[in-house]
Amino acid sequence: MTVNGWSAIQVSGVSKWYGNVVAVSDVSFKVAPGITGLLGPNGAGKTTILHMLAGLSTPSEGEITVFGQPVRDNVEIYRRIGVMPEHDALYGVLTGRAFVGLAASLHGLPDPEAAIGRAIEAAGMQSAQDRKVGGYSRGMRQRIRLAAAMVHDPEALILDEPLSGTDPRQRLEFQELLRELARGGRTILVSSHILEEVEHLADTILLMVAGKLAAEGDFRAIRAKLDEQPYQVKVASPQARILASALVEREEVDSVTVGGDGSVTFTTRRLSVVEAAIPSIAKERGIRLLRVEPLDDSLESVFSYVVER
Amino acid sequence: MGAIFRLSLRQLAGGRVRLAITLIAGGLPVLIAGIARAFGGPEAADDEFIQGAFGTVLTPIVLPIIAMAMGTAAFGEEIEDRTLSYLTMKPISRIRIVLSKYLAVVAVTGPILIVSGVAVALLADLSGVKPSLSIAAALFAGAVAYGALFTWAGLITSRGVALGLGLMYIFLWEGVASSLLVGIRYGSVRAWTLSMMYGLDNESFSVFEDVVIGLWAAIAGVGIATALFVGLSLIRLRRMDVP
Repeated sequence: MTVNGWSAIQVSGVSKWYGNVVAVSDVSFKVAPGITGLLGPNGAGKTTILHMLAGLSTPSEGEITVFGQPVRDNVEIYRRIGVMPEHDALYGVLTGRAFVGLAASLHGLPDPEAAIGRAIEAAGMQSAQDRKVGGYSRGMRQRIRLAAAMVHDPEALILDEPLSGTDPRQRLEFQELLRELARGGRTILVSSHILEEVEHLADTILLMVAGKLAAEGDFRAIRAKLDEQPYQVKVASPQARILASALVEREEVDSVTVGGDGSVTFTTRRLSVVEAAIPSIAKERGIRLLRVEPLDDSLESVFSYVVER
Repeated sequence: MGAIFRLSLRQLAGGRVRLAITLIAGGLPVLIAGIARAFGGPEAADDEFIQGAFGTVLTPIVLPIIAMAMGTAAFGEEIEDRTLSYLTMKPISRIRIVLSKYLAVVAVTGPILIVSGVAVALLADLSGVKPSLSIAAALFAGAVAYGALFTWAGLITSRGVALGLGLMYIFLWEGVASSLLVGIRYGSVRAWTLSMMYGLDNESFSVFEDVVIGLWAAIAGVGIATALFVGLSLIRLRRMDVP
């Protein structure tokens, strides 16, 4: 996972435990320029790893370096990286622009106003920049945090669940922005517990399960392994029975269950094909779709499947 | 340092409940002194009035409570709402973060105490520059020492625990122990504050003659305590896992 043997981020034999609880166990990987997805179910240890990468905590064992140096308390490295933590906490007393301005000020940028303007525009927050962040929606909070993380034009971005809370349009814009940054030679590490998010974004993935690195490398190879295990997807619709009969007819669908709450749960090994087909099925049969969601339990079983192999 | 200092000032002044507690605590001695004057309490400028206003209310109760409310919030609030990482992940040294937060605590706490103390002094007929300056300098020094102590307390434990331990410390150490055991006065912020008042104006504050230590010992105490707790805060911020 390096370009010409060079990697921006190196994690070597890292473990982290809190008392008797092991959060991360003997994890090693390297991250090169481009977009790398850190994938795993909730509780897999992704945030713990990213916390250590950001210098917010120290490994109990092992070593983490970014651009060849330890991160913690390293002023030089903080000039070169931008971090967006998972939690969406913000300073409620500040406006969006002031929040990004604080980051610019702490980085000591030579032309902070220009940098703030560029970052806010890139994150698509111009119209809401003068409002207090306390009144922002989840998606807006994510975007202003991204603007603050990249205001100093960092060489590496570490983003923990950046797409969480964003709507589909924002998600596409977010993904395009990250791709553009990656094309400029930056190293971007993005974590997610949703497979499809990473699929559309990252070329390479690191798959974590239960605090361990279960797989790493090319996304398609790992995806092929994952596809051998069925996914469970729940669809809420007022016409659940009509939808169920339509799904049963499709060969990609293994089983269909109609729930008492007016939902349909189906299993498939070819999730992307079925997901792409659902809107056409709904249009053809006049079915109104309220919600389509991959069940988290199902994802965890998929991740576990990879580990067991 | 300016950006974090300004942010911290806004945070400390922006918490409505905390600000209300602080203003009520700061206004309480003025109110009590005003009522005492209006309804035939002890004569102004007599020892009983000064002892009650400064020795019983302002220095041992109001000063530590305001410093505790502000000091424990400086880092405690950012640890609770998880915004501290926005500062520690920037290219600035940890000592700049600690000093900015600490100075903001002193900048908010000091003026409230000085206004309260000088207002009580005027009600006590301690007119003139000398007693007011003595009160201002002593209360400010108390805010400097307590500010460092409670800023550190907000870093090492949750704010609720810090407030509980702080109240116990104020009552047991500063209240009971330093009143009963003479030696403890050398380690008591309350004694340092009263000693500075007396040391700068021993005529107006002669009532404190028996409870004070020397002026220079008090100044040294404030300096050592401040350096100690700012240093401990720095060590803590360097070692802790930032949420």
